[in-house]
Order: sequence, then structure tokens, then C-alpha cells
Amino acid sequence: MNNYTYIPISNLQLAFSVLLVLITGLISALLKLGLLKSLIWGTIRAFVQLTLIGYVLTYIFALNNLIVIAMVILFMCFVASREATRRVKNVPHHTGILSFLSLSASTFVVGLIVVIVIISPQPWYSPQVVIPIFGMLLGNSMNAIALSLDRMYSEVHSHIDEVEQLLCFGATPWESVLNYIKNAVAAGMTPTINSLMVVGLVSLPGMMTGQILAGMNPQSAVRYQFIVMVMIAASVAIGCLLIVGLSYKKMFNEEMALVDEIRKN
Amino acid sequence: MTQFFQFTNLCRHFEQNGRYIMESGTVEPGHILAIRGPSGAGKSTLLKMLARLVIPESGEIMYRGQSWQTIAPMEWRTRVHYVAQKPVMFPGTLEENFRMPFKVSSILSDKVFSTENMLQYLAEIDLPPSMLSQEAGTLSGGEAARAALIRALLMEPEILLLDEPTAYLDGDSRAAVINLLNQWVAVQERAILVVSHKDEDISELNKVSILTVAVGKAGE
Repeated sequence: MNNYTYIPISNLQLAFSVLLVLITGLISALLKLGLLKSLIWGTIRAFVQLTLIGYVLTYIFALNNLIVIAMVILFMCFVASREATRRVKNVPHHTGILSFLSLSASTFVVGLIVVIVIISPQPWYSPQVVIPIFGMLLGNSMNAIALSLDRMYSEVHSHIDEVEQLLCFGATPWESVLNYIKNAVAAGMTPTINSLMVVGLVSLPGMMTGQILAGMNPQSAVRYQFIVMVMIAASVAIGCLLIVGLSYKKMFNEEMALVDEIRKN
Repeated sequence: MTQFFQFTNLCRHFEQNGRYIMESGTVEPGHILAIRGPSGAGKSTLLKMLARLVIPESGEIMYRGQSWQTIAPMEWRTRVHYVAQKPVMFPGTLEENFRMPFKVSSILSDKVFSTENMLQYLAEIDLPPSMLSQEAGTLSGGEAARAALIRALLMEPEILLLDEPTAYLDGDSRAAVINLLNQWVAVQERAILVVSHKDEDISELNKVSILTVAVGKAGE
């Protein structure tokens, strides 16, 4: 029998937690890391963003409207796709749209399966379930897609002679970069597979920890966490495959040769 | 009369220095066209345009009376085959590297790999058959350059585009390669376009004509 209920955090307790920032600030100041300004700005942003999202989620949960939820998720996909491609170097074209398509497709396919078939809330689009599930999928797929894209371009950049040699053998663009595409998909999937290996031994995932803190029986929290982890793995795999499958063609021109932006670097 | 291989006003600008190359040339079966010119004149770029690895901004390439645009790039590159100056070897043994074009290309998968030709080419350019089981990555620069040439010949192209084929070779190996090229081009309908800085290479090649590439400057 579990009599545990979650302990609400008062404003005073919340304010007290800010003292922890002082520890980080003190270390930054002592070692002259130059991070103090970023730390203060980051703390303020985190507080404001989380407070706002708290109100927004409360409002969306109360609305319980399918169209609003769909719009919110599409907006999340848009932001995630921008973040996924922003820091990828050596990209000869805009990958934003391809990233958005890959993220949306992988997230919606896996997310809908999990929500409708596995968790089955009432109604099926219940925002308390849909938004956190899609959020977790997006966060992980976003990082995986960024890793895959970065790996694909860096591999091709460093193997231009090999790719052109394969083209001279009569290989198609796909055949000429297939090995690098495989490496790119593997690079995107590896962190997720690694986390499957060590979960429960090295780390207790945030979602599971949150549910336990909120009073859920650990055995129930574990079930949710398992579903979350396998759905993330599936979404990451689909997302990585889609992003490299859609974007590799952009490295080639209509003559099925490498574009100048790739060749000249 | 239909030209065997001809390119006309093939033009490409270099972004770095505003210069450009614009060249025309022709080569008949059994003949060799030697491409010469100062460093940076665009000799390698010309070969890559002919291999369709670099798109020319203007100009025309005709092959057996057909415009290049009527032939798919993948098929073109197996018939008009480019061999880079820096030899590219893939992980695996030397023999696996020789067989690789027949595995990766659906166009060449219909052709039969000739072990007999492989052994004959090896003998002609002084590479021992025992080397076939050696990891290609362990070959010296000169060995890899000769191996890359053999791999190209085994694909049985009709036009060979060679970028400095003797750059990594010493005296005996160089002579063997020149001899092999003279023999290869004399058989059936074949031609070679070769970039070379070495006077002795060009003087020892048979039926050779010379195209001197001049550097153009933007605005000229």
C-alpha cells in the first residue's frame, strides 16, 4: 500500500533553491570562468520559461481541445527542427524543412502508437499524456537528428575522394555515400541505445524520478519509463533514417556529382 | 564523319581567383591527347568536367556522335573513366579493390570480371600476384597508383582520363605504365586523355597530340 503523496513546494522553498545558484556562481567567480553573466541570465530564463509553460500547460489542459494540442505539438516540432539544424556545420543547404518533416513524421508515428494503442487515455488526445510524451520524443529525436546530420556531412567532407571514386565506378549517389549514411544513422542512435543499457543501473531517468516524487508507485513508474525508452528508441531510429534519407540527395547535383559546396571544402 | 570524343568550349570559372578555363579538344580511337599547362590552369578540372564530376558552365561534350546529356552520368563514368592523381584504395585486399567496381555498380554488374586480364596487367606493370591478398591500405604510393590504373583498365572503359598517372612512380615503374598505356590504347576503340608534367611521358606515348591549357582571367 502506497500512502505517499507528493510534497508541494511553497514560494519560500522555491526561493531558497535559488541559493544553490550561489554555489555555481561562487565557483565561476573564484575560477574566473566568465560564466557568471550567463549563469544569472540562464537562471532567470529557466525560471521565467518554466513558470510561463506551467501556466500555458494548465490552460491547455483545461481547454482539452484536439486542434489546440495539435498546434502546440507542431510548434514544438518547428522549434525542435530549428534547434536540430542550427549548430550543424558544413551544411550546403537549408535542412530546416527536412528536419521538420523528419521530426514530425517520427514523432507523430511513434507518439500516436504509444498514446492510442499503449497508454489509451480518455479522451485519446488527453493533453496530460500527449504533450509530455511528444515532448520527450521530440527532445530526444532532435538531438539524434543533429548528431546524424553532423556525422553525415563530416564523413562525406572527409571522404570526398572516396565518394568521387565510387561515382567513377558507376555507383549512384546513394551507393557512393551508403557507408557514411550508415555511420550517420548509427551515430544518431548510439546515445539512445547506450541509455537503454544503463537505465536503472547508472541513471534513474527524469520522468521516472518525477513520477516517484509525485507519489507514484515505483513499479508503475518503471512501466511508464520502459514504454518511454522504447518509444524514444523507435522515434530516434525513424528520425535519423528520414533525415539522412531526405538530405543526402542535397549533396548531389543534377549530374549526380557532389555539389560545389561539398567539393570545395 | 562522327567524332569519337570531342569537347567544345568547355568552360568553368574558379571562385577563388576569378580565373576560368575554356577549352576544346578532340581525340580519335587509338590516340592519346596529352593535356599540359601551368599549375592552377585547370587541367584536373578539365578532366573532372569530362568525367562529369564537375559541371561545366557552358560547352558541349560529344561521344560517338552523342551529346553527353543523352547518356546517364553513371553509365558515362564507366565508359569515360577518370583516374585521380591521388590513388584511392578502399578497405580490403588488393583483389577486393579490383573487383569493387563490379560490386558497387549495377551497370558493371552485368560485365564479367576478368581474372586473366588482372594477372596480365599485374605482370605488365611489375606487381607480383602475391600482392593480391595484401591489404590495399598497406600499398606504397607507387603501388597504389599502379593498382588504381589496373582497376580502371579492368572496368574496360573506352576513354581513360588520367591525371598525372606517373606522379608517384620511379623510372622502371613509369616506363612500364607508359608501355601498358600504349598497348591498351592500341586495342579496339579506345582513347586516352592524360594530364602530365613529365616531358618523357609525353615523348614515349604513341600517337599523342598535345592540348596546352591556358589560364583565362575574368573579363577577358
